[in-house]
Formats: sequence, structure tokens, C-alpha cells
Amino acid sequence: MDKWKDELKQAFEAPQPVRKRNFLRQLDLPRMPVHEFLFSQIGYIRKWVWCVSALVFVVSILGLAFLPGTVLWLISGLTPLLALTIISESGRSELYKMVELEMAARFSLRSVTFARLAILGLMDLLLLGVLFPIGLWNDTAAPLAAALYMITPFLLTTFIGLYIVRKFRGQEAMYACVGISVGISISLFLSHNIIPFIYQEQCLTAWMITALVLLFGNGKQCVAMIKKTEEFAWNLS
Amino acid sequence: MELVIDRVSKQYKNKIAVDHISIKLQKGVYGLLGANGAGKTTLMRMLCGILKPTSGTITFDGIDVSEEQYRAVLGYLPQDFGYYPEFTAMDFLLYFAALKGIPKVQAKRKANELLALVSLDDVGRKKIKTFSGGMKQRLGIAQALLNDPKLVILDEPTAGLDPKERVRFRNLIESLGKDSIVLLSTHIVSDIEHIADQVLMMKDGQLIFQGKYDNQNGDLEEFYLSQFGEVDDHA
Repeated sequence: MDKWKDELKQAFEAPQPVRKRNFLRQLDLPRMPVHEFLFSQIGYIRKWVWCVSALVFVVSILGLAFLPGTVLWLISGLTPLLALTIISESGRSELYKMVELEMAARFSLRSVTFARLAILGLMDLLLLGVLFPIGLWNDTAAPLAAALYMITPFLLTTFIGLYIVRKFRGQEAMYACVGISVGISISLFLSHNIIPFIYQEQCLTAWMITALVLLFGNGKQCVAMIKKTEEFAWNLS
Repeated sequence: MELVIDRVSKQYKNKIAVDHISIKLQKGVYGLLGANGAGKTTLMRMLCGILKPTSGTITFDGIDVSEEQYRAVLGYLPQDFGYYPEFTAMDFLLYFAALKGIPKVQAKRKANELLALVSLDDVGRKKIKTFSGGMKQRLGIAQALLNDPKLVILDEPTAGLDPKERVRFRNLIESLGKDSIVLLSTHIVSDIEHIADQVLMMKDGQLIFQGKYDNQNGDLEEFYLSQFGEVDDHA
């Protein structure tokens, strides 16, 4: 049978396809649904982003095991590094001149930016959720206070970082974000020894007001960030 | 299949980059000529939905430029584009396949097919940062064709290609024009002479010539320069 097939193949040359592209276009090929697109973007988040998250988790665990007292101040000081991962991913398209190509795709830059913010925001929220009981271990702070100490530095870093990424371009903007997040981290580590009273009950209202203001500010930054993806920055070229 | 550009303008402060352009494009290859600053790139960006017109509308078969269905049939190659440094050529194509909504299995098959088409199949697993300018340009062309677009917009597509690649590219464009609307801008008049069914010329944001051009009318380059001369004389 196979021999016959070969003989036939040799005897009759198959004609060249005619209007193949037109025919293929008529087929109703499956399209990627939105949730699948969202999952596909997880694979494009850079490895160092996952490494930083893992590092924050490991350092917190090691702190709990080896440092005297509690580690709430340590976790509080590490959260700006988590925020840095969100900032760097949200400014990535612009940094590597992918904006124009991504804007013209079916799932445009807006969807890409939203997907990145959603994936990393969710991941950081989960990680903070895991770190929350670790921070409270042996600590006298109330759960609300512990949550504020962890979330406020994170929100402060994302607020400043998203503003910088939105307003300034290029590698310099990214360096500024790294500097700011490291600066906030170091300030918090130092304040644990220099001004320990900021982690006491009398400052709780100030923490709460700051967190609420930053939460509102971050919401505005995210909206502005998504809005920015709607139109290419025009340069008259 | 029809792309309708209706009284489209783009103004930025006191500069009008595109000035009331109206044109209907059907299947075929259209060559867009114009000097630097004529408004070609601005017009192309508006046709891709990445710049919003100050006034006017752009529709493809009745679908507005701002809609997702419009972008689903669009293939675009910008004048200048980048890439994520960790990407290989295959990663680049698979990334854009995901952005174009192509499922993974189909995307891999299409990416392999296109890498072969642009003669990059042997370097598909290599990082883009090791590529020459011509190779990057070919990869950009492959990316534009991933979704089998009905509307192909190419801004200076032959920049960086060597003469052999340019000839291959012309043939590719010619075959695309049989089933799609292809609009390409270039400074190289001979590229348009060889492949464009119709020539569009822009100056100061306006369309100063639109129509077929054949060799009986003489050299296109001279014609192109004379069009500019005539307009200057009238001004």
C-alpha cells in the first residue's frame, strides 16, 4: 500500500495551492481567551522578580530563626523591595522600546500593563499574607498595626516609583526607582534602632492616615499608568 | 476588504502633522512616499491605533481603529522597535503571538513557519541582542505577519536589509498584496516602483498624489521630485 502511495506521489505532482491564505482566513480558528492571555504573561515576568520575592521570604524566615526579638521591623523594611518588582515590570515596555509594537497588538499595551500589575500585585499580596503571621510572631503589636507597618512602606515605594516611571523615561528612571526603594528600606531598618517609637501605639493613627492617603494615591497612579498606554507619546516624527 | 480614512487630521499645538487626509484603500500594495517630517509615520501610527486622530475616522470593513477586532486583523512594523534583552527570536515571536491572541500550539507552528520565511530558522534559539540590523528587521517583518493580517502597515521595512534580502522582501510583499491591504512607507523610490500597485505622496501632512504609476509615465523618482517642485511653485 505504501509502495503504491509512493508511486502515485512520483507519478502525479501535487498542484501549487491556490489562494491558500484566503482559504485559511475563512476557517474559524480558536482565539486565546482573556484568562489564558493573563496566564501566558506570567511566563514573561523576569526571573529576578521571582528571586526577589523568594529572597524577601527567606530573609524573613532566617530573621525569625536567628534574630533576637521580633522581625516585624525587618519585614517592614523588606517590603519596598517587593514594590520595586511591580515598578520595574510596569516600566519595562517603555525601557526596551516595545511600546509601539505592543500597542498595535490585539491584546494591546493596556492589557499587558494591566496583566503585569495584576499578576505582581496578587503575588505580593499573597506573600504579605504569608509574612503577616511571621511578623506577628512574639510581637506585642496588634494585627492592624502589624498590617500597617508592612503595607505602608510598600505603598510609599509603589507610589513614588510609579510616578517616576510614568513621568520619566529610560534606564535613569529605573535607577532612581531602585535608589528610592533601597533608601526607604535602609531608613526603616535604621529607624528600628534610632527612632523605635514610630512602631509604638501613639503613632498608629499617623500610620493609618499615611496608608490611606498612599492607597488613594496608588489607585490614581495605576489609573494614570493604564491611561498612558492608550496613546503613544507623540514626537512629531 | 476596505480601509476608509475619512478626513483624518493630527494636530499638536500649532503644528499640523496630518492635514485632512481622506482615502479608501482596497486589496493591494500602496507605497507611501514623502520627505522626512511629511507626516508618513504619524499617519501610519494613526492607522495602527497607537495615535488618536485629532479629527476624522479610520475604519476597516466598518470596524473602528480603536476596537480590538481592528487590531486583530492588523500587522504592523514600526520604523524603530526594540526587544526584551533576554528574548531569543522564537521567544519574541511567541510573545507577540500571545499578544495577538494566537493559542500556544498554533503560535509555535506559525513562528517556525515565519522564521523559515525570513531565513532566521537556523538562529531561532539565539538571543536577539546577537543579531545584525538586517536580521532584527526580518524578525520584525515576521512578527507583523504572525496573525495573517488583512491590513499590513510597514514603516520603512527595507531599512537595514541588504540587496538580496530586499529582493526577497519585495516578493513577499507582492504576494501579501494579493490577499491583503499593504501600506508601506519608504525613502527608496525603487522599492515602490517594483511592488506598489498605487503610489501615495505626502507633503506637509497632506496627500499630494494618489494613483497608479507605471513606467510609461517615466521614472518614478523624477516624477516624485517634480510633484514636490510643482507644489512648491503653487505655494
